[in-house]
Amino acid sequence: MSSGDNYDDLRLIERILAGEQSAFGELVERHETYVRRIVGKHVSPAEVDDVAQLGFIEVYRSLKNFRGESSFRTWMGRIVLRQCYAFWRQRDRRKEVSTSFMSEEQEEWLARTMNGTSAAVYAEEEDLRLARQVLFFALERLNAEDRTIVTLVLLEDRSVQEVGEILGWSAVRVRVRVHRVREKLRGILEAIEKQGNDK
Amino acid sequence: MRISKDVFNRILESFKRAWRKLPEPPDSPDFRAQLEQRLRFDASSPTERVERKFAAALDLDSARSDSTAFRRSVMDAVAELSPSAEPALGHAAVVAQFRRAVLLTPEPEPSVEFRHQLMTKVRREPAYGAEPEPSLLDVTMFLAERCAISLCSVSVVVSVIFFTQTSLISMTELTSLMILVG
Repeated sequence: MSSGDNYDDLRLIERILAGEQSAFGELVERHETYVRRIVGKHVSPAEVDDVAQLGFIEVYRSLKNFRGESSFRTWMGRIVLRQCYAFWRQRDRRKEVSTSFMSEEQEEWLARTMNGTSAAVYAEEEDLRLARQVLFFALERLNAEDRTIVTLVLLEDRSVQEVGEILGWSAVRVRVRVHRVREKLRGILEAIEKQGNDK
Repeated sequence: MRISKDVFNRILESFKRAWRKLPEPPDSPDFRAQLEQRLRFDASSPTERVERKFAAALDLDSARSDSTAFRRSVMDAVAELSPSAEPALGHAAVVAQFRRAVLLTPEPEPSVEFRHQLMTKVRREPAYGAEPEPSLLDVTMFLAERCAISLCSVSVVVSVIFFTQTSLISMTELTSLMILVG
């Protein structure tokens, strides 16, 4: 997205803040794909619309606080990620327990990835599909905070400062949590591997 | 087997590749229309919002078509009762909605566990060593978790919220509530 696009966003925001609510529709139209793409990575397909809409509502409520210190898109992206985090926190409170289990195919993929032979065995698409399944199996076993750290820091390589801003935590707290979460994730993978060996 | 750092990083690289190439969510033709509706709803008064949310929950309950949607709908309504929203709420209107819910929903038999949990949540003076007094949020979340049980039970617990918010709950009130639940 170019600086001109950001300029257009700023003009739209001015119009919305001046009371022209229909301008928000234009803003949504410009960024719907972007927002749904972000949300689509963090929640299941069935939840995307709901969480993305809540994200837009939060953006609308917060527009008056936008200071232009980053591009509108970056600022909005953080709000949307916060909404994804809120979604998982709410899920934690409901204490829904995952009942999914690993298939032999997924266990085999993990074993092959561990010993470095997966590239020789799987076609790229197949490799990606299995990696995705094992990843989501592991993510389901983490709470909202840990899950968010894994996705934002370990998978998306965002800085601890940025993740701290998204979560409302200090950078130090994020850094400490990253270390713990790596260990947790490793523990989950070890448990899967052990389960595969015990069969 | 303990996974070494190198092996862990190799798995993580695979996860990263998979994450980068996650399929995009399918198009949603109704997305903007739904959002517009929610924004209009958001702009209405708190009392209107609660009334409409409960009305929607009741409609869903009577249809019994989708328990997840029903649960979410009740939770949405309950979320409106957060402490920050409380001062602006028209309590009488909301309580009227709960009463309507109680009247409309067939009386279920609440479980012993549910009664026990309700007692725990509404207890104002915990015994020595017991958990501290729950906040309104605790009670609300408890309610949200349990709202799949029945709308009647939900209604009673939310009534408890109003009692606990406005004054110290008396034994008489508590007894009345327990009779209602039981």
